[in-house]
Amino acid sequence: MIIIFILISFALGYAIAAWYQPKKSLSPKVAPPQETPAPPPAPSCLEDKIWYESELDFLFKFNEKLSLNLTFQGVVQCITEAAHNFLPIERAALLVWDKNSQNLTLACSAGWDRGRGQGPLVVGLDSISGLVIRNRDVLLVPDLAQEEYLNKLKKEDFLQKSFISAPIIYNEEVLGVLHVCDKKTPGPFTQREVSVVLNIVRMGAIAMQNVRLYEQVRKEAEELKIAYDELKEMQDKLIQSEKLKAIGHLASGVAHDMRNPLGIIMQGVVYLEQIIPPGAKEPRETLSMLKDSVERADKIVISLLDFSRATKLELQPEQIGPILENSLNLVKKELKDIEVTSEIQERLPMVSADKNKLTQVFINLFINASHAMPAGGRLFVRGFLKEGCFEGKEKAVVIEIEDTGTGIPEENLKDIFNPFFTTKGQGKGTGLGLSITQTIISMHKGLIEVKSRVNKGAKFIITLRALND
Amino acid sequence: MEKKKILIIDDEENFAKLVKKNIERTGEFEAYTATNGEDGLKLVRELKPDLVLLDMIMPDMDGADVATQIRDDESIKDTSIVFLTAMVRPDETDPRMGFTKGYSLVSKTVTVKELLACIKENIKY
Repeated sequence: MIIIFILISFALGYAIAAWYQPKKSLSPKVAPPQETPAPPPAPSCLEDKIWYESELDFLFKFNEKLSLNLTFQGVVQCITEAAHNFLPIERAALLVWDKNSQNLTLACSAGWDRGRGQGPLVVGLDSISGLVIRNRDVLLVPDLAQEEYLNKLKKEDFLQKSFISAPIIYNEEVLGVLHVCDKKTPGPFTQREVSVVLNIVRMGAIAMQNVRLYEQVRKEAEELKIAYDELKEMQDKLIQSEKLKAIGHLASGVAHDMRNPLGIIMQGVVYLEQIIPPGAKEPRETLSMLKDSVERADKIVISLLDFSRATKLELQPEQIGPILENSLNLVKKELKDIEVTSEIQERLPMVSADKNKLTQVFINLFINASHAMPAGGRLFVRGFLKEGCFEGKEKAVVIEIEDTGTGIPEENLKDIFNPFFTTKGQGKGTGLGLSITQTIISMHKGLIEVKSRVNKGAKFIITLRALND
Repeated sequence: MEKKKILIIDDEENFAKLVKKNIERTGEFEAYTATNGEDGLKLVRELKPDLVLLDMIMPDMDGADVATQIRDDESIKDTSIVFLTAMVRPDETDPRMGFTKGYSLVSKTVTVKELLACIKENIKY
């Protein structure tokens, strides 16, 4: 029994001793020609224990901190600072490997600054970091001045006297190099310190790879979201355009089929007007009513025709000012009780426009404004140049048509450009006017928006791309 | 003075009849009707009208086809043509504008007064 106990104790002691020692595969290779560093003084059992506990505690905290970092730069900084804080060294630096350019770029340093205005530190395979990448092994240098072959390489500024340089490798793929430089305490770097560096780069490599994958997935998710949003927007536009096209076909058909019977009624009414004696008051009144109705129906047909044809434009460079002024002139009668203030900037750039269609748009908006101000009011017509429109890239001519009328209730704002949406009473509007307006502006690759508050008025803002001089 | 001959070609028979009545009432015109392009062309060749009121949209042979055949036929190529159509706005009837450049257009809902003015403007006296 005692013998078994002694054997077990012996075996356990051996296992613990083996575990305390850095594993053989982790032991640093000192680059040739090597002068083997003096072995560290044999640690006492207590020192070993203290070291082991503090290393374990450090690695635990380091791991926790790494796992909380979700950015590549954050992880790189965490690795560099952890090495700098835990080991008795002057400086630590981490360079990231880019296999496409075959270069290493300084991503983070602690205890050392590159100095302002020098730009990023980038080195190739002909540097000391490059050597570490090529060898894929840790490099332990007790005194750089003694290493002739290293001094032939390009030397990073932070590598001054002694250093441990460890490659950061994940699954055979090199990610970078960590340098810990110039020991503050006397003597060369110990096996235990090399072991800490190896543990840091091993854990760091996993975190760097994870965060790269995470960033990649996040970027792809963002790209996917953008692509989805674009697709959705295009689909909405396509649906809207198909809807308008379908309504256009229908409108065109209805216009044709309505016009013929209306024409017959009109000709019939005119014929009867001629044969009914001038004194026959009632029949004449009846005919007059018929004629009014035909004219009203004809106006609806005209708006259906406008709708069906809104998508055909004859574009040429135009000045917006004269089109606005002409449109105002054409509706002078409708605006007789309204005070019109026109502020159109001089020398506005030209826009690519169908003059007749834009006239139709402006007349439509002016007449709507007049309907919103039955007891009179004010109408402001503005035209001005605006920079940074259309995703901030283009100059635009902006036209604002603002009234002081009844305004549009908020719940109707989203519907006012939809075909057949009207708040006017029966027989007073087809609900096509603003839909035609929007279609015409869209065909000009422009924008139309509306701002309104009930009883405060409405402002329609049209933005058209300015032509280059 | 001899009455001017007007031929109305329109597939809407009632419309053609009423237009005929209305323009004949002025006493200045003698009107004829045809309800399709083919019959219309025959009548143009036979009657040699001073002006044709021609519907744009008709089954089989539309107004544009009839107008082309009139222009291609040496014996009738100088006949005045005014298009009648359901597909125009009142402000599109100016012959300098729109899709039938060079021809006068009249909306189907035109008043007789406007129609007569258009006929007189286009007829060769």
